Amino acid sequence: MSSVIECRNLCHSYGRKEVLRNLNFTVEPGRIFGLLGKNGVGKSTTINILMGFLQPSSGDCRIFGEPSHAILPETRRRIGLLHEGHLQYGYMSIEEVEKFYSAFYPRWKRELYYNLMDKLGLPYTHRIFRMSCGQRSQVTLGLILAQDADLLILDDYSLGLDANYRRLFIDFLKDYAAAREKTILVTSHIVQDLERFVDDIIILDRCGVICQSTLKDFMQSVKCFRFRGDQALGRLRREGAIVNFDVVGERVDLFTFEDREALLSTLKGLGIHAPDLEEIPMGLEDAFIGVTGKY
Amino acid sequence: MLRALFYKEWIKLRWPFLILGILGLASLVQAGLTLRYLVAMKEVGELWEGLIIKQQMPYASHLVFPQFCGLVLGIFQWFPETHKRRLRLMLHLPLREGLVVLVVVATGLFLTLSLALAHGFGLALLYGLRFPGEIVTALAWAWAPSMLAGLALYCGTAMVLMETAWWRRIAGALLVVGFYRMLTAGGPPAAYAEALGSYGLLTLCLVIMLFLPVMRAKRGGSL
Repeated sequence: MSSVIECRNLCHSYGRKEVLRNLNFTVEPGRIFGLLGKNGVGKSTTINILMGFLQPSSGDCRIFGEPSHAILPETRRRIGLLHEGHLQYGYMSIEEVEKFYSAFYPRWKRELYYNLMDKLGLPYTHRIFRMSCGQRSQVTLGLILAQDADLLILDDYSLGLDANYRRLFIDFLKDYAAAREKTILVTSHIVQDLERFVDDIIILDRCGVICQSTLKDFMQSVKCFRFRGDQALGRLRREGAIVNFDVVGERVDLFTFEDREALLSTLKGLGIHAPDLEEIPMGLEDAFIGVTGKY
Repeated sequence: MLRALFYKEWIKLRWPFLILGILGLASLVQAGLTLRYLVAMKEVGELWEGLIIKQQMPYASHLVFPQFCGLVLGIFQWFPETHKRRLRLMLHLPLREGLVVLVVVATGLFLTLSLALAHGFGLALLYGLRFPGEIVTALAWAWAPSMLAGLALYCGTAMVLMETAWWRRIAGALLVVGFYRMLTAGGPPAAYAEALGSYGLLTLCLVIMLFLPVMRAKRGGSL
């Protein structure tokens, strides 16, 4: 089966500032794909290219086999977009916005939308601009679910949401995607939420990719080793098995995709003695910060 | 789908449309009272001489109404559509972008034109009840450029709100203000009669220019 999203050698610059350099990734049908990276590494640019609001400087980005900047209306019908900040028509009420969108999508599932709206406990005449960010997120989620799209692109769904709404959002989406074999591409600045949601991840760094794999493989391959010693400060650098490091006082955390022996060998090469090296268990957020760095 | 688009525009514009309709009615009442006052206070000869020989326009202040409608409907239609990049919502609808913009712009122009026409017809009726056809015709000639100015203001407002680059907004605003000043420079009622077709074509160009931001976005510019 062909890929739902296929990006090949994607490059983009804003003037002289290069944001994406030879980005390659594919999203297979039925997978939940997390696009991760720190601020300013090109996540939003990638999403804008995928959504067709930006044409890349070079390279090719295809959704359902069509160039993302020239997607046919029939194909657009198969794509549900959640815009950053849960963008929606604020002047419409709960029922008006449903009535409006339902006319565009033949597979519209009205009951999915109203199931979610009933949880809000608001009258259907309630206008969207009067809602909190969390309530608005439920409206946008309900509309995307009712659209019954084959591909959902969620641009920072967690923006402005508290823990409860984020959990509600993820739980609803997870059940929905699992039951219907939907493909989802998601970005979020709250990485820990994605741990229980995504199948595959790609981690972007400035003009490059740090890692692209399944979440399971990533969590198995990335390791954090800790030791104490102030002699390391001046000599430590990203080299060999060391993908990144973090020094707090005398405590040194090393992040690697290699095993203990390979790391010890790299440390030895740097002239660092670390007899008390111990492996520290990590969640996705720790691993993400570990490989991308705090700064 | 087109009905749904019209439905969305109607939700945005129904209250401004209603309020403008009431204001238009109030303007007609005022025009009627002014005319009654003129007829009562002036001698018939003086009044007719003013209207026919001196080409006075007692209705001149009421010709602002179509322009006001264009401005208000442009703001109420396009501000919610473009604020915080909401134009993206419209452009992701499963319809050709050109068609979506056409329906939205056509709705705005249609409502502006409806209010302007109803108001113009009301004025013509008021004057037609008391004066011969020549004076009503003069009123129609005076009303036409004002109506075009209303459409131009609608287009200008939409253009400024749709554009993402400040320099394009300023350039668009200057262009429309220049055209607007040409249409409202004044003169006798039939001053624009011979050039009205050209002004109409220029207004049509402004309407076509509203498609440019969307086309630019689809060609690869950011939105």
